[in-house]
Amino acid sequence: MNYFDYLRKRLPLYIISGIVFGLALFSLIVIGRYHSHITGVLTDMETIVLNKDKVQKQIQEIDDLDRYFKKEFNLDLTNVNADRFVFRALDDLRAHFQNAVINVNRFENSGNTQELPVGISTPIRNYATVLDSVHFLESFTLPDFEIRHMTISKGQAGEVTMTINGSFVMPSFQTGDQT
Amino acid sequence: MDKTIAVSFEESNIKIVQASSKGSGISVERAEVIEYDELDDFLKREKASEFIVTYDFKEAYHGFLSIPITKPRFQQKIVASELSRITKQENLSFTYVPIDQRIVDKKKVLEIFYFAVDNEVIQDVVGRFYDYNKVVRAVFPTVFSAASLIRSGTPDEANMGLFSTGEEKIIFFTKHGSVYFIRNYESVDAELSDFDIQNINMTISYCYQNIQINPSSVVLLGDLSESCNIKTLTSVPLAALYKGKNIQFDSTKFNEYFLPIASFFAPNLSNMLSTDFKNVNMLIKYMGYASKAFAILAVLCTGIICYGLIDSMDKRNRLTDVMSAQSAVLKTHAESMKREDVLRNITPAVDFLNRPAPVLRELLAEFAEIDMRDLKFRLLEARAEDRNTYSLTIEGVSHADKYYSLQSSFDDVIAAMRTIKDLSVKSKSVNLGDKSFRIELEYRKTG
Repeated sequence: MNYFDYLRKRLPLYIISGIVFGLALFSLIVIGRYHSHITGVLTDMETIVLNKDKVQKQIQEIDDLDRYFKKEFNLDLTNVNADRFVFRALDDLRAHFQNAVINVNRFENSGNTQELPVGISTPIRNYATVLDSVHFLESFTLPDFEIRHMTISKGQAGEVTMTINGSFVMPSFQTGDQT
Repeated sequence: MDKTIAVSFEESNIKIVQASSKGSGISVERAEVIEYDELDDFLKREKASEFIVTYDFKEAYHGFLSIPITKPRFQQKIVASELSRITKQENLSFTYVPIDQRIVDKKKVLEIFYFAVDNEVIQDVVGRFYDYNKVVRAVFPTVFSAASLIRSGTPDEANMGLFSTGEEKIIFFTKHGSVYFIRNYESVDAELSDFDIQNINMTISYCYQNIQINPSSVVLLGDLSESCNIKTLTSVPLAALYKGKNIQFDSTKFNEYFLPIASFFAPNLSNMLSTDFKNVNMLIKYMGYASKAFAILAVLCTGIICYGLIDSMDKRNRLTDVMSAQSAVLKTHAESMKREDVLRNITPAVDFLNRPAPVLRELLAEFAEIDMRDLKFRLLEARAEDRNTYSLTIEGVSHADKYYSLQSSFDDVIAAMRTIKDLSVKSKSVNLGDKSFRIELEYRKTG
């Protein structure tokens, strides 16, 4: 007795429904992936469009800062020559301390800054001269002058000498040809 | 029992009853009689898919059998083995009921009543239904269907039943819903006659001798309950079976259709359907449920796919709109890239400018405010510890004549230095020998 004959008539419905379900499931997975993908792309694109305004605002701020540095420090951030700034400051220093002995060493790079060590030895007349000299040195901004060691001492002959050891310090800028 | 059709194969025709379950009973919706040659047409046009079949198996094997007393789970196999031996048939579908334990040859045995049918006969009866894509839920011998109605009436008593199948009458003995004994004999009259009374009395005697049970009544079923022509009486009371309250059907037609109606109440234990057909039924049921489940899931998937497609299309349209602003985004990006060099140098420049302001001048200016009285500085040394911290050393001499004045001036200067914000005196010393002094300070700018 072949009982399979009794099942055979019901098999097509079973197989067709199984295939239809399989196709529906496959389509669901494909559509689900497409939906997930397009949602991700849309979210990313919307974020990019939203960030466009932020980027434009940042560009404006960069331009403002660029103008500020150009106006206040004559500093072109696109192509900074730090040495030139240091030497110009050194010239100012020499002009201020005309009777002083000024020693200059080599440039040193220390991490994010480059430094030019400077030693100043100058006679002083009174305490106001000391204040004036320190104020002058501390008024440098770009480059900055960092006073590392200072002595005011009276010599045997009664003359008062001020010795200042410090450095002109500039941030380490990157020029266009650097990576 | 929803919309099930019971088909009873009787002597000259086939009786069909369609009923649905109603509580513990049934409600008959349709009853008809068809000829044997109309069965194929009926099965072809009938939409119901589930059937209960009652069949008068003329070539059935039934009788008493003694088997060893074993656990119930082994009885089935022993009975099958014994039936194969007795009938010389391997392919049998059977049911049995234990009657009583007896001692035969000093051994305890279990006496059973069996009813067996060749599976090929069942195949011939049931196969026609499956040919028309129908499912036969159960096949009951006519006696077992008939007995189920007596069981439903008086469940705890032993009874004897008698009904007619055309030219033949069937006497059966039933107790606790099970058939214990069956006897067929040719009838001389369609109504109940003295000949039938003789047969009843003989059967009662035979049963009492063999299975030691007396029926409490003889129940007449079907047409036999309507009229009789007897002059003698049975040894036990005669009773007629009438339609119960749990069967909703025309009372006048009940006797005609009592066999198909009774099959709705027949116990599953009496089902003679072979294991193969039961497996086929199970597979058909599984395939039906699976097909429905697949269809429902496919519909659900289609719904979700539709939603996903609609949402994806919506998002795609939105994406097209967003992409239209792409040129502006690219322009902004290009603008941003142009400022790459500036951006690279802005951070170190801004960080450099945001460093703490130099502090030494402020401290020296504070020293200028101190009244040194008769103390004179010889040396002032400042050493940077970091950007806003200096260690200072001051050395000097006093021109005071008296030590008191020296100490007083020194104390005043120290006190004045202590009033300077962020300045702390680390050590101080006075040499009375040369009236020199030394002060060590630390200046840590905090604000």
